[in-house]
Amino acid sequence: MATAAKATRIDTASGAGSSAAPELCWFEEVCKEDVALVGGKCSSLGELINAGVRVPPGFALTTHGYARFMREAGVSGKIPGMLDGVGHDDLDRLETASREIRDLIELHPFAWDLEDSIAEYYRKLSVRCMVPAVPVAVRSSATAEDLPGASFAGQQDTYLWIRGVDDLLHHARRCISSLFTARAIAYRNRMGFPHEDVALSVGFQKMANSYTAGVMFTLHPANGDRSVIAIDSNFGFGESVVSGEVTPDHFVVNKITLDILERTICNKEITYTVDLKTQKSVKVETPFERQTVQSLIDDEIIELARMGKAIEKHYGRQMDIEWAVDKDLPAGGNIFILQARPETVWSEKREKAAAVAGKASSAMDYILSSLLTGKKVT
Amino acid sequence: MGGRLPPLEKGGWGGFRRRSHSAGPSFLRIQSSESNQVIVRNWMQHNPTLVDGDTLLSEAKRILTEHNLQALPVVDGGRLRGMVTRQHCLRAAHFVSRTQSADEYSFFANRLKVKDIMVRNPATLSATDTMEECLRRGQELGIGQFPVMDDGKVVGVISSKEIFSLAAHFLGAWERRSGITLGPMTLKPGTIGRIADLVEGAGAEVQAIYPIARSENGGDGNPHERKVIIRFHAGEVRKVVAVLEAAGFRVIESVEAHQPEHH
Repeated sequence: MATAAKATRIDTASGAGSSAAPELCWFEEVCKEDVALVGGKCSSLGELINAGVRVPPGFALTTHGYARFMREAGVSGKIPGMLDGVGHDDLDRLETASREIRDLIELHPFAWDLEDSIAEYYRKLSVRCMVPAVPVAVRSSATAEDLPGASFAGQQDTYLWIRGVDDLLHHARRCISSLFTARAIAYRNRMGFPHEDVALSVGFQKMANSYTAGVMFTLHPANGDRSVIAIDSNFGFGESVVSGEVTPDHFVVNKITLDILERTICNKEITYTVDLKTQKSVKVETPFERQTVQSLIDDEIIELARMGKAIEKHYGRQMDIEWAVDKDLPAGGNIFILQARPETVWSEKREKAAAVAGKASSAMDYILSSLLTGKKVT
Repeated sequence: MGGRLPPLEKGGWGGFRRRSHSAGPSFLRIQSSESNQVIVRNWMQHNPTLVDGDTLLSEAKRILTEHNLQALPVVDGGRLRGMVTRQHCLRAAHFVSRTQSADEYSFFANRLKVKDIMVRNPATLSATDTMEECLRRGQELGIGQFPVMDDGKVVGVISSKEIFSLAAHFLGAWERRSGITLGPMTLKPGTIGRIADLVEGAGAEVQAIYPIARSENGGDGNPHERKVIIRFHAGEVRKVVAVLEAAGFRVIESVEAHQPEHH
């Protein structure tokens, strides 16, 4: 009898999401090998946290949680039927099908116990951050995103400054439904990628209340020069820089000496920030007198470059990093890394060069080309 | 296993009563005068105040303060969804006041809902659980309040208030008994009877004898040994102590009740 009771208890435990197939997990519980579980974005955040990089805390709805939601929403079964005979260039029908699928997803409530798990993680995050109903960024973390040859990047949505369980759940569903924009459907149709096979994870990350934010490359994006770090920045959330809506301030830092080699201050007309009255992320015009002010001070530039170097060293390759400077925290502890992914443009060119190097005729050629591509000769 | 009583343990709350000692081992029978069964239903707060998940936290906080409650079960559509405690409200309020921000105050007062703060899937008790079970789970989980369920519905709440009255009831806190605690000893059949005889022989009227186990991480010494707490009326405590010590028991504390003139 005692064993029977124990067995039922174990059953209910696995039903609620045990270690075998967790529906939710903290960022720090995953690393960069967990792309299949939590997608590229969340797994790299976990990797960064575990490498000791300052990253705002958060948690992820895993692909198991996503799959369960899709199963229960009855979407998985219906999609092939809804997309039957829709060509990838038939824009009107694509839009209609996309709208139908997205409504199906967005209007379907999470199962009670899944909702409870998400809400419980959110509550714990709020307690950790010492803010009731802490504002979070809700972002999709696709398993196919950022992978070579299948660039889904930018096709999924990000929602900033989401507060409260209701909004959180709503935007989680919107993230999931963003897998089925007309553009994404057309793309998968064209590439012959089955819609049932896409999996998504949703990340919920504490919102950095950023004064300044932007991106950083651990090489020069214009010429691939690996001896420098390039930083783009604008006031407010990093979205304005990432989306290319403003021409950001541009800094180039020497990777060895950490000298600021180049400094281009641009006219930055817009800022993404939060309207604290409505608790919503808004796009506003930057006050005229601030538009041409340097958005990142020199100390922060150097600190960022130092962090960039550490991340590059950890991954052993050039990185594309999103960062933010939090306005609520004191200097010295206010720079956060929001995302880091391997830089693709120049790295791929180098891999090609390395391939050529492999066939080099002489040992000297090999060593030289290896030096050029930054490979350590042993 | 749910409704059945756990076996009577000497180390638990099973206060032995002199008269019924030989009447049988059932804990329930010992206490079964009138409705005083020691199950949760008889000790809980009935008809508890409930809120739903969309209630503003500021409203929940007002209810907790005005009714001097420790926790509010959160029920949506007849189903228990969570529990919001006074501590959760105070913590949230503390976080907000730290920010010194008018916008945070406004969010707290006008936007923050119970569902944003409440604990989901709270530990519950069944109305037919024993109070021993309640105490054991409260201690195990480190929590001080439970919604009480009957047939899937919230029918009551157990909080520190109820635990206080339970403890007071068992220790006869309002009876102003005198008390003696004997040092750890191994209880054999007859030991408790002998203690009772000695105390009554010294002219006192035994009210209760509680053998108390060492606490779980109870340090060194024999884990089977029990301290024995004796509660009695009248008599001279000094005399009772002398009799017990003469019989070889070690008295580690004694309290003389302040007898009211008329009781």
